[in-house]
Amino acid sequence: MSSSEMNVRAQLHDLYAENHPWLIARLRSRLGCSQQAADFAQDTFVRILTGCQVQHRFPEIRDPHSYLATIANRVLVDHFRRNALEAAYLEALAQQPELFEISPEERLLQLECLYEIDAMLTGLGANVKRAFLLSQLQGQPYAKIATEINVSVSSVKKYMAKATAHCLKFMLRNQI
Amino acid sequence: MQLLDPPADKKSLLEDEALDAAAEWHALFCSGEADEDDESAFNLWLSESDLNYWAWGQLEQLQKRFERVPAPLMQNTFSSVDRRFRQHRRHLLIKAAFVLAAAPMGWMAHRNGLLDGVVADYHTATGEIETLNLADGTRVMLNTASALDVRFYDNERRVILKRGEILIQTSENKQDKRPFIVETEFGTVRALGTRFSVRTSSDRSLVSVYEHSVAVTNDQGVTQICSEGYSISFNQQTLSSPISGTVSDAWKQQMLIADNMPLSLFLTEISRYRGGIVDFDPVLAEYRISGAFKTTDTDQALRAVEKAFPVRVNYRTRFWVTVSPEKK
Repeated sequence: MSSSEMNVRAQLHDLYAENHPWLIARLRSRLGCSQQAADFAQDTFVRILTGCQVQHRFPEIRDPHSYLATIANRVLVDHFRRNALEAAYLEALAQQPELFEISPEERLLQLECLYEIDAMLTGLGANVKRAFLLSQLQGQPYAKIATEINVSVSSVKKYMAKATAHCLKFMLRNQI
Repeated sequence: MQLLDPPADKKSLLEDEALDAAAEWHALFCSGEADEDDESAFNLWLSESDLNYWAWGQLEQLQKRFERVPAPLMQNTFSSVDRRFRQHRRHLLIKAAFVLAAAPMGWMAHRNGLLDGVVADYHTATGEIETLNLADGTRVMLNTASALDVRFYDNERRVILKRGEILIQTSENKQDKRPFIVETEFGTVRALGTRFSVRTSSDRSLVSVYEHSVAVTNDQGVTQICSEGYSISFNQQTLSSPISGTVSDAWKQQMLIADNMPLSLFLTEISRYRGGIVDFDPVLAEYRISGAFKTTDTDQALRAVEKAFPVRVNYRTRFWVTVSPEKK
């Protein structure tokens, strides 16, 4: 292990030792469950560690509590978002019985794909996202999308370029 | 997952630019508006560099992602997921209510850091205002019925105003070199100094600067500096020149101050703090109202209106009020 890697490990260790009890307590009071609090606290530090490995450095932290709260929030949001996606997916499956022939393995793969695409579309404005999905999933021409979301056709073109660029960059950043 | 970080180095910047261009070309061809000149230009662009060629190829990769799940299935999943997600978050919030009740009074007035309120996001109910102290020392006040996401990264401090109105006092800390950016659906406002407000509605955003200046950029990429004492209105298509005057920030003291304000505008403002609908006849714009009103007592404001003007205020329900000219 290089000296810089050891440095990162040491800083992460300090962050953990000094703040893990606080984070667990905060999560416990928010979630009302010790087990969940422990799991999410763990996920939070794992996410920070992963970030260190990807960026090859320890982040500059001015306020550990705010920083940990930010990361923990992302972990929580991802968790609840995935729950919501899974529930929505299963209901959508139930509504189309002919697709129920999909094997359990295939369903898992599709769910993973949905998590990824959902994350990819996060951060797009409501109208941009709508326009993009209408084009991508329903193949609607731009003129029709324009009337449907009540903007000009040139706005639809801009939205599509913006959304597509965002997705492409997302793929690049996350190496997928 | 996180939102996109800005490019970290020159290579990433070039890659991003190539991807932006590829996306533009794709949108042009999908629109059906491309002509022969466009096709020639595209071929030129494509052969210009390996990077452009690579970027165009990425579109196919993107398409493959979408094809993994049958389109109707994906569509139905995405149409119901937001509603479900909100229900889960509400669940989280209800449990948190017990925590809030036990918190000491000083903490209730300000919320420090995240993991409070709605997970990672802030919102105010109708008639509520809230003050946030962000991790960098910036103070943000949320006005009635507002929603704000805070996204601080290593190289920028970004907040996303989804609806409503905020007042920002950026921190005095000169050591924090990260730009401070307010994003709305219609563009971004970059703080170059200290105190300003941003308000967003369904068709435009409005910036008012009380101290120093900000840089406003709309979705089209047009930029304008807005200085102290001026306001700028913008949406996707337009960006106004700086307009002399600023919107009142009296709401931070829970007051609505009217200075020769058209009555129609006054009633619209009142409805923001009251909730529900305040319907009014457009001719009421002819009347002008002046005075200071508490935003916490909209009934009193409506009574004052009825007393001062020849109008009738009809309370069809608590949340549906109509104001019409009195028939003599």
